Amino acid sequence: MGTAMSIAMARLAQQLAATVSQPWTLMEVCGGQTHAIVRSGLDQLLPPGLRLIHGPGCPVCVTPAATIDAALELATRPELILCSYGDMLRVPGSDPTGGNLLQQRAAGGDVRLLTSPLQALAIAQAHPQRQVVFLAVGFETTAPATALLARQALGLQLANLSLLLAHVRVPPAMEAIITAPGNQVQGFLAAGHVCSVMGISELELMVRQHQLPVVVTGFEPLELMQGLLHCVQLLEAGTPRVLNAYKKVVRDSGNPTARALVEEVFELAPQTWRGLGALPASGLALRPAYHHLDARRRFQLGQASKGESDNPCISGLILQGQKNPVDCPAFGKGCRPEHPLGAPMVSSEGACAAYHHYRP
Amino acid sequence: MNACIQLAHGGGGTLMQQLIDRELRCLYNDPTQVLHDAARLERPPGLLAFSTDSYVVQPLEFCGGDIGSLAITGTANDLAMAGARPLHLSVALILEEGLPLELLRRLVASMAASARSCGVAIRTGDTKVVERGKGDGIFITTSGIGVVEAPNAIDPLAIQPGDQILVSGDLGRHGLAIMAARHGLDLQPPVASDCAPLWPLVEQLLAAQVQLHCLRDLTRGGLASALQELAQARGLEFTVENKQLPVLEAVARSCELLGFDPLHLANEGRFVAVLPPQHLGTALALLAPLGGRHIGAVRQGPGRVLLRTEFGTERLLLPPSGELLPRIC
Amino acid sequence: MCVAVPGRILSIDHQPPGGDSDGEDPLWRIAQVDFGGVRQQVSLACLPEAQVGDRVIVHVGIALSLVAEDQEAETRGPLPWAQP
Repeated sequence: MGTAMSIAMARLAQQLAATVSQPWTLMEVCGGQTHAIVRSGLDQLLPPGLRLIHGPGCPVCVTPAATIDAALELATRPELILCSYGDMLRVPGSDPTGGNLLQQRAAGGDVRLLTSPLQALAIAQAHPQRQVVFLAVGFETTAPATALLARQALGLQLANLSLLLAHVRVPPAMEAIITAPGNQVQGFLAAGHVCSVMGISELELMVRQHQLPVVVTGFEPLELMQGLLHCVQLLEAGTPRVLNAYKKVVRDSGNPTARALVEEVFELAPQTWRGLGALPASGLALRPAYHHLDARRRFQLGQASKGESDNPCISGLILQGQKNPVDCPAFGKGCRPEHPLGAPMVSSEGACAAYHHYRP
Repeated sequence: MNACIQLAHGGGGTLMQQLIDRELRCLYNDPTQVLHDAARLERPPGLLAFSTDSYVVQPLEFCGGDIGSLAITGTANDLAMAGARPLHLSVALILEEGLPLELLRRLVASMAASARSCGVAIRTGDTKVVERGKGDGIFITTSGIGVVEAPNAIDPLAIQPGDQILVSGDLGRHGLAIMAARHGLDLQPPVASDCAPLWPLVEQLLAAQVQLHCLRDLTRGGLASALQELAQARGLEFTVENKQLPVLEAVARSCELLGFDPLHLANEGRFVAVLPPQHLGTALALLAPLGGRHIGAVRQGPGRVLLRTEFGTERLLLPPSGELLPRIC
Repeated sequence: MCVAVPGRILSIDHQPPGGDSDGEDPLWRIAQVDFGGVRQQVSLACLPEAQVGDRVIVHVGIALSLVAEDQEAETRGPLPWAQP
């Protein structure tokens, strides 16, 4: 006897099986989608021949190791308060044995956990004698919040707040995956909340250029399954386009106010993605009017990365979907959430963490 | 009049005696009794159960309880989980210089009240004071003695394939109450810790002659940790049904907002029971009116816990790795 | 990649720091939002059209989008666990 949800899911699984007439390989871009899929066991309900590979949409996973290293160094300074989302606190830097922000806090560093960038403003106002640095990571969903923080800090002429930036954009990552030699991805599930800000125009450009379907989905298991069905239907029909299957939250035009705020504060810049390397125009940098809020300038932090050449972590291959977490020799052995070699094992959205936590 | 704990309060001299006489005697059933180095106790027939635990929770006070009520109830509950009636407790306090006396009084009153509701007597204790900065306000260690009333050994090794798994009530309230206090969450209506004595329920199950193979109270790490410990200790596969797990809506929604899993949140007044199938009906009849549910079963297989989702798929249920932190992704 | 949850706006306020005499700068417009038993203060700086009673999607303390009411129940559904 099934609940309404399980009956609806079974129906979708049946429809999917009935629609698939040849093997297809799809990618869900967002780490949140990956986790929802693996946590619900949706991958067990897919018909044979339908392969789902996991994309790089995990902002924690792609934040450059050099940025973590910089945050760790800043956290050792007694006059400084380092503010960060909880997600970043367990991520190792270039050296997997070199500690993380949580350990820095245990060693006496003033590391504060935030659930919103706006909390950094209050901390800076409460401690005018101390420097407050906010580790600002995330995709397009999170950038408006960082932009708002910057605008408010400018308006208040706060002298003791700065941003250690590592914001990234989804379309360049999708572009890199599509154009990589040996790419097998034929269709995408795009991240619904990124699209709530950006709308679908960038995705439409990509579809026109590369002729593969992109379906915008929510994060509930039924929404994801429905999204998979839509994507397969588009592939079977040979009609690649962008389909917004998350209309209750995503307007095709996105959120223009949020985008305007981001554009006022930030400009596009090259960005290094941990595991993927440098992608052009894939990051955000502060515009000149906001340069004084840049922690790298304020504290003269070097850009050079220590490099992770000795680290056996294969996160780059995982993030591009070229390898599965279970393909990694260190998975579950040398690399576990308690002692991760890289970010995808410790991030709440990382593919390696999802497999470790949920896959029997 | 000093309103705070001073180092001298732990010095063994007059100030310490004053502290004991004025603030701590009410912990004892007979506040006028002469306190010796050791308490002498009547030895009851049968097996004794003995347990100890230290309590370091922050914040010290939260909705539905405090470190005092946790310290008493927690150890009494550990005894109950061995099928033992909790009888005697010791209370060792490590106080940080600067701890407000008013706070200490509230915690002591809370401990005395919890002792009464758990049916235990505090027989002996100790007090030390550490310098400011060397303690988190107060640390409490309680040890407890109980008399075993269960006819058979309650132990993970007694678990058999075919056994059924029950939980005594809804999950995660204590963990959420702590998170709310720690992170300033505004819960409307407030969610109170589920801290409560478990012996009364165990006593009822024993009185109804329910054969209990194993009991485990859910504490840090929540349901996931408790089940994982049992499954690994016994080397059998546990399966639980997600849709049978009771979770209050406010707990579920708060978890969504902060990125927590209710199955990882601590509880302080809930336990799982693993028992043979023929006793399931009786046990459920006793536990269900108080929120208890039949959540799963034990089968041959590797020592691990599988969760069956509402979609019929199975996935691992692992304990949290490390401290629970609110997340944005 | 984003924990973004829907909540309902209970009240709207304007909290410029140290008083704002230039009228209501939307940058400082905030709402008290109820997420089904837990309430948080949320910035409406990116959603100037939001009103009391609206359901909004919130990420890191910022309201990003209105949730269309008529399509709410379909896939969100009840919570996966049992109600105590």
